[in-house]
Amino acid sequence: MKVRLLFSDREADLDAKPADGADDLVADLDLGPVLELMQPDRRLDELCPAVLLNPLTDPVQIAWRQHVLADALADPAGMRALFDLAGRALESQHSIWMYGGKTAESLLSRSIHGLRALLPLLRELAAFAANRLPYATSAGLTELYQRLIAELDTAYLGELATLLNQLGFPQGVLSRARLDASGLLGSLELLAPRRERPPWWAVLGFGGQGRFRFTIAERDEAGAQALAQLRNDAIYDVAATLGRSCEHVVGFFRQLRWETGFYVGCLQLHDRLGDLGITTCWPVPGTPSDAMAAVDLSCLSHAIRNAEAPVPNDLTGPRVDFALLTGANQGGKTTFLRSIGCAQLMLQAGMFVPATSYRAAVAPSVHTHFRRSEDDDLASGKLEEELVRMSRIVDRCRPGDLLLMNESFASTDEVEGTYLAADILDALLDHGVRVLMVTHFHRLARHYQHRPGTVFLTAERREDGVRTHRVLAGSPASTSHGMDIYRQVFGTADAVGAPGSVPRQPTTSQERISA
Amino acid sequence: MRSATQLTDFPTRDPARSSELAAPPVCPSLLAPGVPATTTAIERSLHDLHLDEVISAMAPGGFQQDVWHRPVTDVSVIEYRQDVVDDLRTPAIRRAAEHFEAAMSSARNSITAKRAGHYPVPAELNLLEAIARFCTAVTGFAQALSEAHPKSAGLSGVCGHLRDYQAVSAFQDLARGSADLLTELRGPAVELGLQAGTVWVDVDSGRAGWAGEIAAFFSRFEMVDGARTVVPARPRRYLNHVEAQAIGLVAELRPETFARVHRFAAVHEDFLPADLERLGEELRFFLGFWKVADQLAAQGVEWCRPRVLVGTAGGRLSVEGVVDLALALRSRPGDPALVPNDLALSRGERIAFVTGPNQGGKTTFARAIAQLAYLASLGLPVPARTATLPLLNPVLTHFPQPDDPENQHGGLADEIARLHEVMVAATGSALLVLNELFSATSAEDALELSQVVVPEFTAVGCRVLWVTFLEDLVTSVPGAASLVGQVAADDPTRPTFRFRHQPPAGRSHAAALATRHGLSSEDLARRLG
Repeated sequence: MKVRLLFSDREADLDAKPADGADDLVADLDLGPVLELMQPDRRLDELCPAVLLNPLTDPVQIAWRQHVLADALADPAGMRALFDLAGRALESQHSIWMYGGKTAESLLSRSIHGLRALLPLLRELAAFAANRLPYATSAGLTELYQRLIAELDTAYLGELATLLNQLGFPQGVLSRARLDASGLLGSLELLAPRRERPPWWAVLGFGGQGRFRFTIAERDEAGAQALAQLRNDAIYDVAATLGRSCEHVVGFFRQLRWETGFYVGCLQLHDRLGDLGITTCWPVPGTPSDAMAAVDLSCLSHAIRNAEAPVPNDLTGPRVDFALLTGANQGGKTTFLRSIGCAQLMLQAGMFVPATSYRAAVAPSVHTHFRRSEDDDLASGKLEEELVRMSRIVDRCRPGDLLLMNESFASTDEVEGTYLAADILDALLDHGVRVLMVTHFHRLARHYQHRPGTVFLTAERREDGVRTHRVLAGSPASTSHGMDIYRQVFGTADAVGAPGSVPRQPTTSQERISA
Repeated sequence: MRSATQLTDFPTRDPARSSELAAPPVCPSLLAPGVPATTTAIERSLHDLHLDEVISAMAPGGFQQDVWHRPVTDVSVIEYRQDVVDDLRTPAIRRAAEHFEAAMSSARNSITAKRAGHYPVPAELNLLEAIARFCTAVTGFAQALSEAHPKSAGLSGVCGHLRDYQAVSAFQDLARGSADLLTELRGPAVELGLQAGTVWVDVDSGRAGWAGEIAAFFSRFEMVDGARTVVPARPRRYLNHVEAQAIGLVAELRPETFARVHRFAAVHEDFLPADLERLGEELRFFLGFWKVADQLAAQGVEWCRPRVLVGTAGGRLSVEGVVDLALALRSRPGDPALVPNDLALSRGERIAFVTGPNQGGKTTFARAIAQLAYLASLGLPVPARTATLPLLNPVLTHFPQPDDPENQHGGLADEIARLHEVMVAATGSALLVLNELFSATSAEDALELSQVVVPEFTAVGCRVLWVTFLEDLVTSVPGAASLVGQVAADDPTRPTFRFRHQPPAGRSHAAALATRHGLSSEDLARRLG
């Protein structure tokens, strides 16, 4: 019984761990609050990270999810009801574990009780599917409902009820046996009950029990134990089969809970963005040669953490394989980088993005290399830590990947940092990795001034020194406008008078990057 | 102490008995062409050398332990066994031998169970199985041996014997009879019914198994997920009165077959020939060794066939890459690798002193050499890359005893008494391992006493491996070899556990340690000054 809401061609892997480097992504893109908001149930804490941090690359799969999600947005109650039904099915199994024990007998009774508890939920699910099928428009939901209707028909569920009764062995446990090498009756195989009605004498408990028989004495406890062991062996293959089958049915509900859970998570996120007044759109996955085009892109993690609609940015440009962003401190550079990273992950999870329009090439993986600490002391351990992280990224990088770098190697001085960064960047860019880097190393920016396919961005700073948190096209300015911040903190423009520290204007026109 | 089965319980081809014309041919022994000349090892020496651990790992039963406790005094017997050991390296021979040995063990158990007389019908079935297994094993072993052409006199002899034994009509009747009966017994299945306290048996009605039906019914739920079910292990059942009664029902269902089984079992209760039973025990000795030796080889221990020399060629001792076997047995995956050592002693170097840093592996080194000599004297491979040595038997030890450390005087008296025992047992072919001799007294006394006993050793002519911290003693014995534990070139406080021929190293190691802790004489002068 396939669920297939997250993928058109396979079940989502419930044990999937987020891709390597996901911890860095969560930390660097500040995804913690987003993932917490999306989490549909306290037991499903691994769901949203597993889906969001294992990006899809196939546009067909992205469209598959977008369509199911569109259905969910059109009928949120329906998706939530499905999620809830799966949850109740799983809960119905909690009491089953009271039938403990490690024998085949206990496994069998556990499975019978488990399946008895699931039977009404299977009936409810079939009815639900029949009820909702007319409203589904996506292939994912339509096909799921059709499968449920076809495979959970009344006859099948009736047979299941009969089977569970037969497994109480009203006619005794009957098995086939052969003498084995240890001189015992071995290779026991449980036989199916007779299909025809048992004769009257069998119903009354007489006969039908072979010509040769014995009954152990009533107080023979050792005998009763030996008999129990024999019975355990006789029912073993059926107990194991039923145990696995029961787990398959539970596994189906677990799968349903997981896959619907992601969409419930998306609904929760969508509601929140709506509250904040942030518009969303369906992003368009592009090919590697496509340019990135974003209009009114908001930073998801900034919006969720600060519960406010951030300043949106636009970014349109040629096919960019390397963008260097320099400019004013606290000018929204990190937020900009995060908005790109979040949007990329949402696009490749089949989700909406917080923008009025968004198109970007899909990347096999997204990597982040953010400076972890804001203070400037040049402890040698920090540089080493950065290099260790960078080395891990290099291990994982494939052509077409997107790497977001934020003040990388700022733990050393500009000269050394530039050398380090330039060597690494050259190698990654040659490898076909797309890089978006925030840096205050102007030396590094100048190094790439004439490299084709390189775009320079700058954080906007108006004539009066106020930062708008918008990112604009530019070329590397030689100051990060630290003085602006100094002034802002000290609240006066006159407090600092040294002529050399007067901020320079960005040297190019402040307009959107356009092709 | 050990199990009742002793070497002497079994018939061997004793030259004295081979003249008895009426006796049927006896299977030759794998341990020696005749009755081997052996000595009996001293339990305390085995313990000091950690050979007791090796024996308990490698000797599965009383018979094998007995062999392990009797080192051989005859080089030709050693070579006879070494040839058998080498043959058992051939996979085909090894497999057949293991199979044969297992069949012999289970045959013995079946006979014991039948004699015990509980549950007669299952016991007869069990005996029948054991007979069939025995016959297959004899045929299989004979076949494997004739195909593999063993080079050893021992296994060639066994091969010839088994070929003759198989051809005897009594054996052929046994094999055919047991196989036919088993086919008859196992052929048709029965139906076994269980309800409440009642068990019944009837002929098989040919109805379908239920598990497959159930699996098919639920197949629509099969997904990638589903391996989470913890299915308990299939119950292991043992013979008891309910099982025996159930078998009894089968016997009632098929009375003719079970009557034939009863007659067959009664006739062939003593089917196991004593000489083949002894062969099984001897194989267990060699297989028990190889089982553990192969495990250690997988962990990197190298095994070689030692060249054991006597006469004019004897006297030279040359070992490369030897490791402590007990240490190898104790090591777990992830432990640091064992450090192999070399040792070369000329004929004249009867006494070899071992000195070096504490915790530097002195005792381990001496143990490894002594273990090697002991294994060689049993005719077994040794854990080294190469080994050439004289026949060293007995291997004797004198180690400090942990008992009663308070009683110093008594301790010394005890040490000297034990040394006397060792000297009484020592011969010109003995190997003595002395570990911190006279540790119960002062260094000065120990030196004096040691210098007194050296001429005693020289007079006996035995080899001595002498672990000591008395470096003055080493330099005072002319002609003795001096082996010194090495330290790392870059860190004199770290021992490498390797040993080399060189004069005693003096106090260099201690000085390095002192300097590191600021305790050299200069440091102390400055710090206290």
